[in-house]
Amino acid sequence: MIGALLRHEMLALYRNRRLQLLGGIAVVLLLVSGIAGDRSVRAAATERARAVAQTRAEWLAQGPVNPHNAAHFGSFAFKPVGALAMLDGGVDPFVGTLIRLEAHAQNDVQYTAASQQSALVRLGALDPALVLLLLVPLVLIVVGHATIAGERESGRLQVMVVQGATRSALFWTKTAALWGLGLCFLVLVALQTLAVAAWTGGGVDSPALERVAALMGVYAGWLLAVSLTVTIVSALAQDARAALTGLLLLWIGAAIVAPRIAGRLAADRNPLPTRRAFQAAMRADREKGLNGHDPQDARVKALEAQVLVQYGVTNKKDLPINFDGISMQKDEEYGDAVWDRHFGALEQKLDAQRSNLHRVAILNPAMAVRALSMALAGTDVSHARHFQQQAETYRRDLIQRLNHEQAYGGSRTDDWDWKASTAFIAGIPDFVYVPPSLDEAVARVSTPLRALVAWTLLLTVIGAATGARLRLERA
Amino acid sequence: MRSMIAAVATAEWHRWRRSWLRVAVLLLYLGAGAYAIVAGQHDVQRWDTAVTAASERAAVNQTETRAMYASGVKGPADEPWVDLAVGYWAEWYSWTSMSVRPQPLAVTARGVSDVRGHVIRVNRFTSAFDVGKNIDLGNPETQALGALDLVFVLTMLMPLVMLVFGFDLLSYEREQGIATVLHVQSASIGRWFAARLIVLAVIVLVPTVGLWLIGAGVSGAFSVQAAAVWQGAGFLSLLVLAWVAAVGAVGAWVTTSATSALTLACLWVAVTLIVPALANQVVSAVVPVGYASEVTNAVRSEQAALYAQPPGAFRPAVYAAFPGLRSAPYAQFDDAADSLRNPDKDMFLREFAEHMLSRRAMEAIWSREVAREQLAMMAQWGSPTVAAQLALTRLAGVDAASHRAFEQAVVPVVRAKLAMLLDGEWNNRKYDVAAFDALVALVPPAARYGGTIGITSWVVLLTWLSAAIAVAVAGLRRPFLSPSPFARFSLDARLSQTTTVS
Repeated sequence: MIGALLRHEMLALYRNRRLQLLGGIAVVLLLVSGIAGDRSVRAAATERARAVAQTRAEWLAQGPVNPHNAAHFGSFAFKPVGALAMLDGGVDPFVGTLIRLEAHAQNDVQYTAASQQSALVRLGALDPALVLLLLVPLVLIVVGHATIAGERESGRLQVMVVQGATRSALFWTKTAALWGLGLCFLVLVALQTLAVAAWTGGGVDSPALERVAALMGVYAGWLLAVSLTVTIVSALAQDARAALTGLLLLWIGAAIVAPRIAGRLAADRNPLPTRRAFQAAMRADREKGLNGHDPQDARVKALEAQVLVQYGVTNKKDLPINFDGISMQKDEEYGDAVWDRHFGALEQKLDAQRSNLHRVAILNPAMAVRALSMALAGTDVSHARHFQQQAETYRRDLIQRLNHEQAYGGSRTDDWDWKASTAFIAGIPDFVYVPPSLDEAVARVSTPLRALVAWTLLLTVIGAATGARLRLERA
Repeated sequence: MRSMIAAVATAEWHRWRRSWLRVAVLLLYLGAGAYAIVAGQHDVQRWDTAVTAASERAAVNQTETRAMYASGVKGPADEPWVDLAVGYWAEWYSWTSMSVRPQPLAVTARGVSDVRGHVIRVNRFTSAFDVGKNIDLGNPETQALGALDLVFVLTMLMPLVMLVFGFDLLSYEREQGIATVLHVQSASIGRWFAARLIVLAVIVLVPTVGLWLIGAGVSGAFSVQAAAVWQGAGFLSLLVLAWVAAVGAVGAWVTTSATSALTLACLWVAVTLIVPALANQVVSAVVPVGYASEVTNAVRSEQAALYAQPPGAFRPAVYAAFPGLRSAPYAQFDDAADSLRNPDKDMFLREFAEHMLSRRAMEAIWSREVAREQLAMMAQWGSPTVAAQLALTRLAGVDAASHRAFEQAVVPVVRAKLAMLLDGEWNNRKYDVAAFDALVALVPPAARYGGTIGITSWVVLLTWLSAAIAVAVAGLRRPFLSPSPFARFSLDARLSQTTTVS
């Protein structure tokens, strides 16, 4: 019986002209979004590779150079474009693409895509994630809102029960048919991703494959939740028209309006300081430390006295090492502590905003899926921050190496013309970003993950109850 | 016709009295608009405060510097190396902020205002790309969710409100048998249709334009940008009419209200969601944003390359830009040995070269930005929502072009500073308070940017309106009670399929 019901549902879907129309449009959009996304990602990856190579070549081309000059020459950390960014662009357009790495300053990530585009950037990009999150559910609503209500109106439900179908079987086969339809789109996305990867020659490495599989799992869960919702509403609604109205309002509210309201409320509840106030506070704290470039600075004098005692000399000129390197490193370490404190406080506020958003995701599974999708695609804020933290760790190590060379590499105090060897400069490794593992990425979105699982289970329970008491006649 | 409108209005009034959904939707619409206005005021206040604080800080610095000139000291007591009579120190202490102040209408739209900088500290080293370092702190996660501003409410939610109010246009008459009554009484279906459209237009137009005018009123836009306010009101009215005509077109062709609602919902999804998102995706693919390599090169390798050259290498370019320097007293040392030249003066030659370097890098960035915007502008032909978003953000001065205009305005100011300094150095000028004030005066006060709605945006809306009217008229010419040619896509189509369960 189940098989016959499923065949019936499949046949009905196959004959549904609206599905042919909307499904066709959705497939075309998926293909276009995939191709456009792939093109953007490849262009960005090519430019990044060129920029990284050029930056390294410029670093090496310095030749023998004073370490502190090299520290000011600095470097750049270029945010890598994940292979899965073509699936879900996430917050990437609003996160900068590069960080200037230099002495005396922890710089912010700069040059966001959004800052170089028109106001249209506010309306999002048509990536496969958007299609799966918003458009495929809409197709399921359009196709499935009458799946029970419509058949009840035509009296066909009664006929099916008379022929031996149980109410639950009717409910679950209709849900399964809708879910199966949604999964077809999902399979298409997966195939497209793999095909694009194979076509471009890059392939998909194992960690990326894991992430693709996890993403597909999340969207499979999401489409199941949507299918259940559509069938439940169709079963409970007075008629097909009421089911359609309810589902459309739910879709618009959950997918279009609620995220914007949630974002606004999250930002208002934990407001960030203005950049001016943030920088002024940081500058004030920074100025309380020593100034490695100012020999008259009282704190530098104190450090100098300490070093003179350590080496048993009375004058900086008599030191066997270069005191400038030591004082500049102390200056850096003080600055690092200041930056850690201020950037840490800022990140706490950002975390609070994110927690609020995740709490809303408990009520709105669409937002939960969005958070999970971005995290798995490596395009959420956590990944952006992970990159920023690694870049800053590299910067500190770079500057520390250069100051150490300045201090102990063979020069004497005030010898600013002394140059470190080319071998030393070449021996400093380039910045290589190591993205977080899948486990780390998932751990940061545990609340949305639990919310999605809970919603799916809840809807399954409601679905079971609704199916068991399925009304066969119009009220 | 007047009596027909009165009859439709009366019927509509009775339907409203019975429909809590309509009242709730209208209240939600007005509530969302009011919230967006309050949120917009908060954003603009934050922006304005930042601009004012930066100006005040610069003013304090200038006052302190003038006091030093007046008291005859060389510079701050804790910086004995400073000599304010020397050009580069006078310039260093003459820094001031250049800022873009929000237009009053910025209350109505966020645009790109939170992802671009509004304030920059201007001295001779300033580059336009430094503006990007002063973008206000924001959370990318909330930014990526989209802005809940008044323009979002009026351009994206308004069509949904219209969908709720007008989805059963004519299909209601068909389903309730009113059409048959009209047909039997030989009343003009066309007039009834027009009357219903007029009533629908009024119901949506009043709150939409009302919210816009309230937003403009609370922001004080009537006293500063009155023309823009009325231009926006006119544009929104046209947008409402275009959607009314679209509702009419669907109503004229589709026979059942459920199918009509579905068609309108799909139309809304297409023009407010798919077209803009597709446009964004395509724009990013055609003109990728990349890694601003022009800038990274300019601030590092190319700048380092400048320092590898003697300052004299830049003299021809400087003299070409400022020919008057050739006859200045210091020009007689142009061919002199290095020992006779003043490195403090020659340093400005390299600084001008650095300025030109950063300018060239930013021009490359700007030209790509313009290319992206031109592509985005083309997308408005596919969506009146895109046209409205672009037009209203332009009026509010929160579009990319307005922010770019601010960045571009920085370039001539820095150039003028360098020109004045070069002139002073080449003429061996000592800086007093008057010269200091002249340097300060080169930086213009905080300005407002923005523009008017482009003719293309008006044409786009008129085209949509005309097309929708044409479709509606064609639909009305069919026999009114005949089935829709799109019946196979209707909700009832599935019910007519024959299936057997064995």
